[in-house]
Amino acid sequence: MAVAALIACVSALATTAQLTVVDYGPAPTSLALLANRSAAVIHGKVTRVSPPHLQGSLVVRDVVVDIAAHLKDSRSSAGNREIVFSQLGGTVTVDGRERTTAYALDPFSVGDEAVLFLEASPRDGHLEVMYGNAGAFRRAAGTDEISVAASPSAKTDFGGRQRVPLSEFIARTQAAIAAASSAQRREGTQ
Amino acid sequence: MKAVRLAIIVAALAMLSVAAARTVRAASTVRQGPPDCTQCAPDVYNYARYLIGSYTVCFLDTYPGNPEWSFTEGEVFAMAEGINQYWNAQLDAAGAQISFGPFIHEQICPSGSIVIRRESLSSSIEAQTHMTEDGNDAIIDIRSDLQLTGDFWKNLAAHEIGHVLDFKDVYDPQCEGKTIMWHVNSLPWAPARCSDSLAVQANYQPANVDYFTYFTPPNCYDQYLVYYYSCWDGTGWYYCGSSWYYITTWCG
Repeated sequence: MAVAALIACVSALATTAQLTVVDYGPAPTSLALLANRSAAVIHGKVTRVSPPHLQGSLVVRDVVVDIAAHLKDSRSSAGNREIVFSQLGGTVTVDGRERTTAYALDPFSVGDEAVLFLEASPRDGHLEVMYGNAGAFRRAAGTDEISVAASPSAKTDFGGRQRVPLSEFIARTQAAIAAASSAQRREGTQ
Repeated sequence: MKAVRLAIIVAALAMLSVAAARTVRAASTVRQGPPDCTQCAPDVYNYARYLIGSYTVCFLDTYPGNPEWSFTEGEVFAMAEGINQYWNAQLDAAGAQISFGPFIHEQICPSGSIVIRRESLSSSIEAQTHMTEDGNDAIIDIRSDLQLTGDFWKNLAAHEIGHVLDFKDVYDPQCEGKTIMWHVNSLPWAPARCSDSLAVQANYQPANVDYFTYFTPPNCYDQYLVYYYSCWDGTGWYYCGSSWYYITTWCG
């Protein structure tokens, strides 16, 4: 038997990078349904945004919001003046491996003001904006109006308008939350 | 190293060098077609650039029998049909050297396959796809309590495989119904759409892809000492086995 010795170079391009894309389901068609599904609805202004970091398998930034109004908060920390939610998106390198999560929500910056419909992640309890942009109603820069264009409720609740005055939006959201809450109570007593 | 993807065997005696062909997809934006098709053709991340060959799609039952952590045969059938009808047909029509299948339903998925599994996700999230550069070991997570009817399982699976193919979500309101990459799963099922056919052609048609570029990844190589054994059967030598011994890892 003859033996031939060879040197073999085998590339070990182990999965060195990963990109994650998050897909939301269809957003509710009204503010009432959206409010009903959310753990918290707050109006506030972004005061800090952390660098991206890995949370489970996703890259997120922690966004700190100074709360102007609690419109709904069923969590134990209700009443705090600040709220922190995880915003998906960004790139980090962990152990030499690049991990990226695509932005599923337009990134928030310090100073942004919005009404946010939030839910708790079942994995770790972190708050996240529901349905991406359809759960984040931002105040249009330099105006006293809220942009509702990204939400299906623009049609049902606002007659197809793209922007509505902040005061009107908050009043309608409060009414929607009250209606959802009384519907829940009725269901509970039946 | 977990995934050995490309072998370059340097034969010291025979001076033979073989590089495996990989797909190096050009960042092509060549698109021609009716305006709707062109406007709504999904863009690419330019991330999954090395797709080639057949990809086994494995539907994983993490906890068989538990409906939140497994798939019914009906769900698997619908998703497999969605992927096959939508992408395999269009990839084949474009002459692309990529296909999805076989489709298997397992409790443990083979390495390298595209895994579709149920996962604990927030209630507003339907699915998330972890793409890899060459498609191997991509993972598609579907929310554990998600219930859909047949056509929406087809849509969902075809959409997520669209991400594996590097396609981005489409948000342009004028494109609702015109691409499987529309950002929410709200469309009636259609086995093909011109926007996606155009995107497949632009990104995976051989004329637009350097399919046979010899690609040497710039990362690391494991070096092995390999003994090839030749046996004499009385009339001639024939190959009768090999042994591989790890030497070192070289990066450059």
